[in-house]
Amino acid sequence: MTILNYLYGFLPHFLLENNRSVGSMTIRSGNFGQLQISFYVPASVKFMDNKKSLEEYRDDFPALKQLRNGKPPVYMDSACTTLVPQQIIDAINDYYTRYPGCSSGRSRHWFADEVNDRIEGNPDKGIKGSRCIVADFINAASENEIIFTLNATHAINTVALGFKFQPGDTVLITNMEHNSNLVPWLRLQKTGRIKLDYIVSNHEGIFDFDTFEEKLKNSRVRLVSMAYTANSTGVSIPAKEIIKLAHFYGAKVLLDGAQAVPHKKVDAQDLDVDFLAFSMHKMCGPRGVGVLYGKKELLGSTPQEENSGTDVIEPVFLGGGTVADVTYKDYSLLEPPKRFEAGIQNYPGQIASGATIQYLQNIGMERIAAQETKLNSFLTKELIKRYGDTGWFRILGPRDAAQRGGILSFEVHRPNAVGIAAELSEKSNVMIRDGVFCAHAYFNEQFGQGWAHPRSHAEHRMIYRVSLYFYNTIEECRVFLETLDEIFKERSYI
Amino acid sequence: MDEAVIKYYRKLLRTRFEYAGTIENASIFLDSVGEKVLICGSTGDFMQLYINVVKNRIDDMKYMCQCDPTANVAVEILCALLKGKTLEEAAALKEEAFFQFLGSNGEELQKKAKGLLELLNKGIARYRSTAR
Repeated sequence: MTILNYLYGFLPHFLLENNRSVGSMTIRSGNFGQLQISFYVPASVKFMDNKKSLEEYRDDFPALKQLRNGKPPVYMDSACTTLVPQQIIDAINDYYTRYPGCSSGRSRHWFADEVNDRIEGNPDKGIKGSRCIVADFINAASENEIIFTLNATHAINTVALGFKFQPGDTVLITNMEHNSNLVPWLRLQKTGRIKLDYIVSNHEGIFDFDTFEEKLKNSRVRLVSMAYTANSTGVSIPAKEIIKLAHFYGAKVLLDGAQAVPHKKVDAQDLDVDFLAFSMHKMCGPRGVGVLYGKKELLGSTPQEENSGTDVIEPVFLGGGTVADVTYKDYSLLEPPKRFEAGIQNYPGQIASGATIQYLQNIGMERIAAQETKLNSFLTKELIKRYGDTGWFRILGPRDAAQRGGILSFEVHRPNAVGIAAELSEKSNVMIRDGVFCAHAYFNEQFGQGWAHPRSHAEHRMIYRVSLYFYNTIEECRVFLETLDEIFKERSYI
Repeated sequence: MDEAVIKYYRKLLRTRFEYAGTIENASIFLDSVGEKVLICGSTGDFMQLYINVVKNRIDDMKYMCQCDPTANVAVEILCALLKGKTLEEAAALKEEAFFQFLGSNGEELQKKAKGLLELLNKGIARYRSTAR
């Protein structure tokens, strides 16, 4: 390690002085005692990226540099999909521009090697592949536990359709699931392959462990499949405790991490989770790439599916890239993860996934979580102060913003409560989401089926979701608050 | 939002939307959901018109909706304008009647009025073709 690398690694503080970065640091050593070092480095030299303020990271996002009606975008719909920094766009462009080929699992040539190096890694060239970067990010035991999918929905369906259920098996979910973690199970229930059961959390999002244990004890629960963080309220479940209890009763656990992995440190081994699904597009990454993490022993190892254990998931799709050999009578599967990745893959997306995670790691997951809490706390406090006593405004989930990550969903229960999201966009380029956020069942349960088609103005209501990420600012929150206030006034709500 | 629309909407909130409601077995029923017509736009929008015709004259008219306030103002005006009119008079109704009623012709109101009149005329045409 060079002395400069050594110095960079110890997070000295820098000030800009006469176009130079001025740094100083103190080293304590048994051999040298205390040593004060001062040094000068040209400002053009970039130190560790995590020296950048979050405000500076905004410069990475081309979408934020646009203006409409003289105003910048105020993007608060990151739970739907996030903005993409230039570094990720470059990674995608790089593939199409420089080496737009298959990976070397298929072809053996220059471009194929370039693709393969970036996805599977090449220690000889010092390249860490995307698969390994993803594995390290969630602390998987091996990169072979990382399956690239189209998105989190695809990942969940891979488990739902690949798990060897027996009639009478129960799948346990919560009452706050995204359709992605509900509809696949409903479909299996319809065909008689499973029985679907629910755990209902209270309005504060407190997980009901008593009922959970009762169901684990009294039903044949083979799989617990739950959203780590609910996309409707931002509330996270106590995943580690849930997994421990599920395992005690012999059930496997799939976590839908789509709203969790982008926002906080998630450690698959520490959680001891069996399957974890998440999507790159919710963490500044490419669209069309998701990840299914599965414990090695649950992904199979035998060339023939029929010889694998009862808890091993089978590949849903087979074809090119999944098999080691084929005759007109039989086939043998490749080892995981390849057996799950059928057909030509989204190579640019998979390559950019590595860049995405490195980008987030440079910022730091703790900083991301802290920024979301800071912004959400500010917004929550302001909204409650302004409308908390009106009787028609309600924040979904706990009032404590720290329990809701970057998500703030609120109900407006007033005549013609619809259309506020469109108005926010029209007036100030503020982009939030309205509707049911693909959690129809949850809202139907809350308000009664058909609530979106009320019989009178007194029954009108709409749900809005503000979802924040590290690139949002307090100033943006103020723009949202002031525009919302203007709309409420125009509508005579206040 | 247009000042005149805001003012009228306040009145509607106070009077609890005079024409809101349904008519059982209405002569004409018009249902518009989502982005099918201009009067609706985003998630959850809908507009339903109930028109009762007696001896070729609009005897009663109600609506159910969840829409933006301008559209709600427009449909209330439409109900007020149409009550007691013959179908011919209703079909001949122009956007200008909305502006005269409200004393304003904001762009949004123009759009909503146009959308409502298109919907109304479809309903009248359908009623005439089935009533024969």
